[in-house]
Order: sequence, then C-alpha cells, then structure tokens
Amino acid sequence: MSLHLFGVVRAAHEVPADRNIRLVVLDDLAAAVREAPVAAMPHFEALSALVATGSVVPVVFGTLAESEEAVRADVLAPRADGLRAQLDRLADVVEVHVYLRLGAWTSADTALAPVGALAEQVVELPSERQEVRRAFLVPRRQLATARQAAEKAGGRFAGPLPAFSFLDERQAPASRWGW
Amino acid sequence: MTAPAPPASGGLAEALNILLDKGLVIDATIRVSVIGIEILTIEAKIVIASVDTYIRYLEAMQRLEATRRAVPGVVPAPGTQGILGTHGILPLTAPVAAAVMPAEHLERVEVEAPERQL
Repeated sequence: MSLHLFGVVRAAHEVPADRNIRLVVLDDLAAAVREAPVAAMPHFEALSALVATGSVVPVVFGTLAESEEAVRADVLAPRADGLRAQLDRLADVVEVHVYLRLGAWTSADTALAPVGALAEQVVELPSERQEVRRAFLVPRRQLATARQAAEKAGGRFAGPLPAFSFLDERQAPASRWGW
Repeated sequence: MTAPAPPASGGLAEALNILLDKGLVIDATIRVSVIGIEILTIEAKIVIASVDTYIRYLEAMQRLEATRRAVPGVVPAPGTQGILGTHGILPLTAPVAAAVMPAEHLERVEVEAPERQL
C-alpha cells in the first residue's frame, strides 16, 4: 500500500466524498491522502476541491508515503508548527489566476486593477508572448466578485486554487526534480 | 456563506501547467518518496506529463514495495539508481548503449558513474 499525498489540512477539514480521499490525522493536523496514485489533472482537481472547503497546504505533486505511520512521522510531525502557521495564514484566502491576452493598447495593470483591489497579495506568473498571467490571493468571500471582475476585463479566470504561489519561500522546491 | 463556484476546467488545465512543480516538498526518506517532474515536459504537454508521471508513480510504488519487504538500509536511497538518477526498469548499463558504444568508452562510463551520483 502506497499513499498518494495531496496536502495538509486541519483535522476537522470537510473532505469531498466522491474522490476516495481520506485524512491521516495527527493531533489537529491531517494529511489528505488516497490509496492509489493519481495522474496530474485528477490530483489538481482534487486539491482544488479540498480548497473549496477550507485551508490547504499543498504537497508537491508526486509525493508518496509507505504508510499512515510514515505520513505522521515524516510529513506532519517534523514541521507541525510551520504547517499550522501556513494553514492559519491561508484560512480566509484562496489563490485565483487571471490570464489576460494583451491587445495593442491594453495595459494589464489598468485592466486587472479591479481584481488587484480585492487581493491581499499578487504574484506575476511566468507567461508567454502577448499574455499576462497573475496569481491573486483573494478573500474566500470575494471569490465571485473576483471572477466577475476578471471576466469583465476580458481575462480567463481559474479558482479557487491551492495557494501554490503564496507558500513560504522556505518550502519551495530545491530543484526541479524535487529531491 | 455561499459555496465557492467550482473552478472552470479549462482554466484549471492552464493553472496546472504553471503550478504542478510547486508545493510543500517533503525531504525524501526511506518511507516517503518524491517523484520529481521535468518542468519542460509539463510546459510542452499536459497529456505527456500525466502519462510520464503515472509511469514514475508505478516505478516508485515498486520501490516502496521493495522497501517494505527488504531489511532497512538495503534499498538504495533516491537518486542512486538508473539513468540520470531515475528509478525504473532500465538498468544502469542499458544493453542498447553497450552495443553502440566502443568497449573502452563503456568502461570509462562505468568507472565515472559513482561520481555523478553526488
């Protein structure tokens, strides 16, 4: 039995019923896991579904643990305080993305100002050619407003997403291979 | 409080391209393994990333399975197996390479192999 890890949540987190996800609990923390590995897209969809019901610290895709005991001892216990701090920080906010194709006389800053006004933090994402991609950390209750503002500006909207772009720097991957 | 709208799947696929290599990294131990993903592959094609990733999963699961059955310490640590440190079905010296390369070159590669694991 290998466990596929999605992320760390509070032990009381409401887990979507239809995705075979369960919680491995250690005190007030829990890791959302699944018995069988999943491909990238289902993994990402499940994480986004988890975000819809509360704070999630996503674990890098491709993390597997041998047993529940390993999840508690090697994933949750060594960084419990840091995880609690991250979960608290993300409790009332979610990440959303806006992708905006630039016309000849469009300023991304002007066009996306209404979304930016809702956001606690903004991060410029890697983009290509004539497109601006931005991640916004917006309050949960402003999610619908953010979507409307993005679509009014002509942008494509994705969210709520796990707050990948706003995790602590220290927890970013050390290498592109993740080990 | 209203429930948040589910993400539009089109946007989600785009977001996946950007975010898939991010997230909390657990230092690999004998009981927890992290299967890295080549960013360039993801940028090029999600479908390829998914299939490729799935193969890596299966390989890592085999390794974890072997770990559980073996005496602790016998199973090699991550990054010490296979071509470019991957884990998989390809042995360290692939028969195809042996047929193509001159014998002396092959020997040298084998001698150098342990250094590249650092």
